Amino acid sequence: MTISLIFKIGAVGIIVSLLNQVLKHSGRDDQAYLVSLAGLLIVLSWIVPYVYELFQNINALFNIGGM
Amino acid sequence: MIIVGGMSLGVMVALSMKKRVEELRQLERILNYIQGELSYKNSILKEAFYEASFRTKPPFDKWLIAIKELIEESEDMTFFEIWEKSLIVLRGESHLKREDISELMNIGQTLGYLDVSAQQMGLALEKDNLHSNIVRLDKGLLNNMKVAVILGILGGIFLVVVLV
Repeated sequence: MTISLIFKIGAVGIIVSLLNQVLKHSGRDDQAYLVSLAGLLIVLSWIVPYVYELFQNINALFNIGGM
Repeated sequence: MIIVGGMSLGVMVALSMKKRVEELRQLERILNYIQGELSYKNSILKEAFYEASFRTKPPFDKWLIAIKELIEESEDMTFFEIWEKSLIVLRGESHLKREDISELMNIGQTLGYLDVSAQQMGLALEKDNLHSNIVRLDKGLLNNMKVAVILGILGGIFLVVVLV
């Protein structure tokens, strides 16, 4: 996991919150909700492979330890 | 480049909104003129549209001339059918949205039906609807234009962050 991923997640969070504010201010609440959802899905798509790798490593560690 | 593209898209959407309101105002002027032609000059519809075409800007001038030509050529079509056919052309060339075109369809049901006074009453009603629509759109126009540009810029930045 590189440090750039953390910066990217931070940037996406800032942009999504700005978009949320602009859309809510102009009365488009449903579109604001969709933007938040899209941002969440994008960040999850970046994070999920690393979480999966973490679980694999933990699994491998306990399997070796159990032997 | 992506940010500039996003901003350009936002600016295009904003200009399209502005153009829509301007075209609706032009449409209101056309209806005023046609009403005048029917009331005071007792013109027939074909002539009223033709005269109105000289007093409007594109794309409405071509649309009015197209209606006049369709009236001359189509002897077995009703006025509403002619009107409907002409609106398909206008939809492609103008910045009007689907709801504006359906309002124009209502005007087509009024014109060319019953006597002149019934047509004038129908036209007056549709003019009122159009005017209230223009006032409503004009009220939020500046705000919506700013929102469109800001969304374009933020969308561009978002794409840059996601893709890079």
